[in-house]
Amino acid sequence: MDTASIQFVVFGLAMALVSNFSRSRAWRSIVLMLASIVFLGLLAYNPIVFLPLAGFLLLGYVGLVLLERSWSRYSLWSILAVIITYIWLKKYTILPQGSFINHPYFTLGLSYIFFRVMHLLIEAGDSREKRHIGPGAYLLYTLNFTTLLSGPIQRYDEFVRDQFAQDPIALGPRVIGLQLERIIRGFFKVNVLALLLHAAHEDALAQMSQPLPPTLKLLAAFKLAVIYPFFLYANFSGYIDIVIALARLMRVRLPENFDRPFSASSFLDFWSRWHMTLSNWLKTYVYNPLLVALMRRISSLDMQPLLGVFCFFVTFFLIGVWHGRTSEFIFFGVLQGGGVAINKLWQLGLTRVLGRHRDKALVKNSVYIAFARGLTFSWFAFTLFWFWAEWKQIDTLFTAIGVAQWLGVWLAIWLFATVVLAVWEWMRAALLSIKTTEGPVLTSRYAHVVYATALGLVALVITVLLNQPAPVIVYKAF
Amino acid sequence: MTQFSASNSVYIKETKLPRRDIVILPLLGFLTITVCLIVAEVASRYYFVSKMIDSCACYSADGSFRHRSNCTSSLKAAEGPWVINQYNECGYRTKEPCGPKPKESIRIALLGSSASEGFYVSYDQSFAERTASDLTRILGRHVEIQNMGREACGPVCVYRQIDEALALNPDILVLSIDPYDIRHLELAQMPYRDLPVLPRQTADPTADVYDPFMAVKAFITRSSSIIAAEHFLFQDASIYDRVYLHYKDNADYLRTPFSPLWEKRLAAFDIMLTEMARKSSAAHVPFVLLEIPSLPQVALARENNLPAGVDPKAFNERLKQIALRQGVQFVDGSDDFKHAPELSKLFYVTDGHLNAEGHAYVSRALVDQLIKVQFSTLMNGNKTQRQTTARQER
Repeated sequence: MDTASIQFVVFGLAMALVSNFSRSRAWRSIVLMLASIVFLGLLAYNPIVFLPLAGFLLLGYVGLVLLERSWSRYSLWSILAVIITYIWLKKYTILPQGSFINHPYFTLGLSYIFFRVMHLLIEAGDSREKRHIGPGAYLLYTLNFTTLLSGPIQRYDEFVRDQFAQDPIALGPRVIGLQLERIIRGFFKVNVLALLLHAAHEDALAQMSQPLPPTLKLLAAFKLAVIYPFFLYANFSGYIDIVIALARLMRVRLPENFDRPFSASSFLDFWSRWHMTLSNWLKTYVYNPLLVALMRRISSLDMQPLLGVFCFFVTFFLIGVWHGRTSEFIFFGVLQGGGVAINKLWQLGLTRVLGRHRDKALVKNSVYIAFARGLTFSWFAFTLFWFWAEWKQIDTLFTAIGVAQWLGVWLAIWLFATVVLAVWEWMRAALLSIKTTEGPVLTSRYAHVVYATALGLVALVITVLLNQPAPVIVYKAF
Repeated sequence: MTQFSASNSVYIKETKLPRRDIVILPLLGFLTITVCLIVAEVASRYYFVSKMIDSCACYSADGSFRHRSNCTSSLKAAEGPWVINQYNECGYRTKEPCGPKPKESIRIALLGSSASEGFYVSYDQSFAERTASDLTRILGRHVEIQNMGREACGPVCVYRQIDEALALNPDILVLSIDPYDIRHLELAQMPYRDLPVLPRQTADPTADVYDPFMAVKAFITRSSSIIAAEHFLFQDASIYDRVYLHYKDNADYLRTPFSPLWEKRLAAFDIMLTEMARKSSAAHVPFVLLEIPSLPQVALARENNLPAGVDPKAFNERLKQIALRQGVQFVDGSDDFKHAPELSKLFYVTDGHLNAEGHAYVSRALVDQLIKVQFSTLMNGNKTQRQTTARQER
């Protein structure tokens, strides 16, 4: 059930069906709560393993109650307590080994619960209008089974708007059709595309340690770097597609988490399209407050752009660090932070050198965009080595071929990504330009039915034939 | 009201569906599935080509067939490579001529059906040729196998070949049998087994009646996409087991006690083996019964938790009892399969025949047991038989 398996989809659809037996918010909330409890029960049979999670939720709720009662002087303390407890439960290596609980316990989805609890605490501390969040609403929001394992990270007000609405959002045949199509698309992404890409990535990884002719080795290195971003996208966005559609069928709109990230023409743009709810969360609660605080202290106008660069680095460094507890993820964070910081510096430098008008003209140039898109993809693919491999493995891979050969591989990846992604964008635009009075043919309900049926059939046949457990959702581990 | 669609970043108006869409949309779905299935069938026919009919087969009036003398044909299993079949002047799939046995050579006559013939594998990789070359290497003298194995030659067909086999003056006679052979033992032919020509098998009065359901079923089961699907599905032995055990009569040899029909078949085989053993004994030719395991037997033998009443070894045990009662050496071809790799590397999983790797395992078991039990015959030839032949020649 902790994967995008058929069982999970069937469970979600069944819950959506039951939820729609009545439009009353009480009924829909009871169904969502029961579904979330059953879902947790299916993930771990022993109730004892949930105790640390229950403690974490209780801690968050106590903090929230304190803030609701205008004890705002406790705001910082409650936030710190939640952060430290989170780090402790996730067993970050910065804490002494002996301090951790040795008994196995449930941590799936803890990161995403952490973001939701932190969001509630920060908003409760900042807001002048105190609002009461009852324990039921708190648990519904934090344990919602559609967002429990891998997000998306929804804001509380957005959740309340749909979940507790007197008149819930409409659910007509067209919306149902779209959501079913989205579930099929997500299922296909995770269970077919990601599965095949993962197999291809594993093959390339094995080839890197085999005695192969240099050309084949270079090809293996190329595949190793290129395949993983697509795998990760198919794996994560596929799962997100499924949960967003399931939630919509339960009349709750979850925020989008991806917006065609490989179309991004800069690394900054990329992070506004990839895991959007996480980057938005950090921009809201780390980047903005940090920038404001620094600007209050450093008033020099010349320094202000550099402060932005620094804040970007910190924000995206934290995104990297959030992904894992080991030093590989710290370096991953440095590469993410470094990427956006250099990107921001490049933008500033370009404006300074070319002037505002020529800079604007350049960034609209299609050739410049294509190369920038290729470079963005290549950089992301490069950083992902620290996402999926350990230092020892990275060392083996980077010494499997020479430095000059690796540079050649990365150059090839840049050119490949530039051309392929440009062709993809051109094709997409061309196909979307074929229109009827109702809009693009490609997005019509007829086209949706055709490709959803085809994808569904292929996904079903491949799932049955391969008869393997549904692939693990990579982001559930974080 | 509008609904945000993430797939294309456009806003879609939430309006009522036009009434025509109630017909058009399901029809589109149906058409898509049809097109997908046609594409799958075309692709499967390209990747899973098969040729099952042997152009060297020459049918007789009773429906049985022999292979034409000195004929060459090619066959292909859907999951295997193209294979050349060459038949000698007697129509046996053997490199050596079937004439008088060369001096200093050991000759083994091999009877059986498609597994003995080495169906869908090149002759060098069949267990017959592997056994001959392994014995030649081990014994340091030439061993030839006159391979009389023939596709669809069940126990009655084999029984009717015994005199022909003994006429080859073999030093050893080997009969290979698998559950599929016993399953297709025609009980109705038993009373006529000694006649020069067998009556045609009892005609099914309903055979010529067109049954649309059966026609559709046959069309589907013969489609290449089903073969392709089975090929991938049966890579997992446990799925194969589950599917196979749903069969009734086909799988009843895996269940104990055997069904009455299987008991009848085994009793009929017992009768024929007794008569074959008597003839073989009269010709002073040691007789060996080789059991070739079926795919489900091998698959189930690896399962840790077998369903109640399922015993993949029961069939072998019964054959062993029948063989030993007649003084026939029994060789369990499945012995070495315990240590074999996964099933898909041993069998053509959609077809059930052994592939080249599977033949190697059968050959190993046969060579081991022949060396163990028939060593003196293999080293010195069949002395009694040679003396009798020499006396007759004088």
